[in-house]
Amino acid sequence: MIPWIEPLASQRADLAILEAEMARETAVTPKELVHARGTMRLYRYLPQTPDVYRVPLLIVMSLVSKPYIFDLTPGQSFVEHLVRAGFEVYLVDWGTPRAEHRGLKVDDYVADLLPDCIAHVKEHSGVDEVTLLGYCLGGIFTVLYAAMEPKGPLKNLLQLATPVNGEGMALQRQLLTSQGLDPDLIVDTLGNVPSSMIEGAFQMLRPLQKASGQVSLLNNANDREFVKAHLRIVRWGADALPFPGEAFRQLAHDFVVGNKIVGGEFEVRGRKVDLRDIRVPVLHVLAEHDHVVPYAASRDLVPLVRSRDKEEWVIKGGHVSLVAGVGAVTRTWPRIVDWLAPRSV
Amino acid sequence: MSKPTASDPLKAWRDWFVENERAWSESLTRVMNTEPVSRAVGQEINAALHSQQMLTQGMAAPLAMMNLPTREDVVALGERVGRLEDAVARVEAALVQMRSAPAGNPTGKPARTRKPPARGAAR
Repeated sequence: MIPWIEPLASQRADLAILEAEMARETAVTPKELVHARGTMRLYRYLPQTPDVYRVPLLIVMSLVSKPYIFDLTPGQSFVEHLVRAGFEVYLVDWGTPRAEHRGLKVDDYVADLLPDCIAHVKEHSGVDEVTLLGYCLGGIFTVLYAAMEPKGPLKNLLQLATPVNGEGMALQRQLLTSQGLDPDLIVDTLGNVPSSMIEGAFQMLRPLQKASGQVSLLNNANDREFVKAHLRIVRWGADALPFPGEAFRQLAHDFVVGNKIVGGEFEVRGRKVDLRDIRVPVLHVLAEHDHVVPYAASRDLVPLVRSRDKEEWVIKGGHVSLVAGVGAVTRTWPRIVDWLAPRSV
Repeated sequence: MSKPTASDPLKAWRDWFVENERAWSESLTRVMNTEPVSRAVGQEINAALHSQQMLTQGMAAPLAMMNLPTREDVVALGERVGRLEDAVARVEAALVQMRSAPAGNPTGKPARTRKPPARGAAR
């Protein structure tokens, strides 16, 4: 018998138990399905307080990441934190696009699917105002919607790491403008951009992060909670979703290369959208070391909008630190609740 | 930084790696951000796409001869399952809606009367 076989087998069994444990603990805040259309799902988290703030909150996720990052595990769940603070929380999950969804454009998300969700939130809650929370690419959808519907039902706009300046997406822009990477070829060949390419693109933005994470895991192998917390984030990062082809093409050409959002030239259904039309209260929370959405790509949002009530916070940490981790639980989320509560009555 | 222990002499190296990873990653990203490297990376991806397309086309006939499904067949099956999931979700949402109280009388829903805590109040 080879001496190291037995401990290795035991470690594999431990890891399997850990994986099962993590799966049981992920996304467990009680919720109900309010609306389904295509792959899109609109969930409502069940209130856990005797009374709630008047204005419901709708979380809009990115297209390429799964929304369980907002409900990672009890005690480390942004949704749970909001629900316990007395908010009625809805979440839109765009789902996994199939080949038939390759034609979905940003226009469809901003001018059709998101308004459809908002209409269902209004109908379900019985309130004619909604606060939108957009994270990353989902944030692009919420700012475009807010600018298109200045007289709409929007009460507040809460943005997390939202890129608006294509020039700030330096590496992606360089890849697309150096006559190397051809987004049209990708979409025409593959339809939707596969999740493996999305994951590869994230890794390219910080090439040694994965290796560093594995080394960190080795250093803390005996700390079960550290291992679980680490694996949760790693699992989420590896769980990227395919990018609907036409939406990818549109964002590559019109946002990253054309930089049309800050210039007020980005078109949705033939209409130019100008972020200067946003007048509702805006909070934009950014991360200091965000390698996915660098500060140069996101810093223009707050100066651009014409809201009288607007703030930008830059917190320590990276892209995920906004929605997960100790700093989020103890500092960022309580601050967000303090900002949102008086604006939700 | 942790000191190396007799049982784990590599820990110091690992700590050093973790501490410096961000700076090294940024250096690598700066290299990738240069014109020749980004062009080469992009062209590599384009070439891989062409190869994949040719392989997919080339494999269709041999797989059919062996009575094996192609990737497209498997994807089509996945799409059918996806559409079934969508249909089940629509039924679930309709059931949830039916179970809910009629609009205007949201029985079981909490009152929307919550006020923010007064400034300085204990959290």
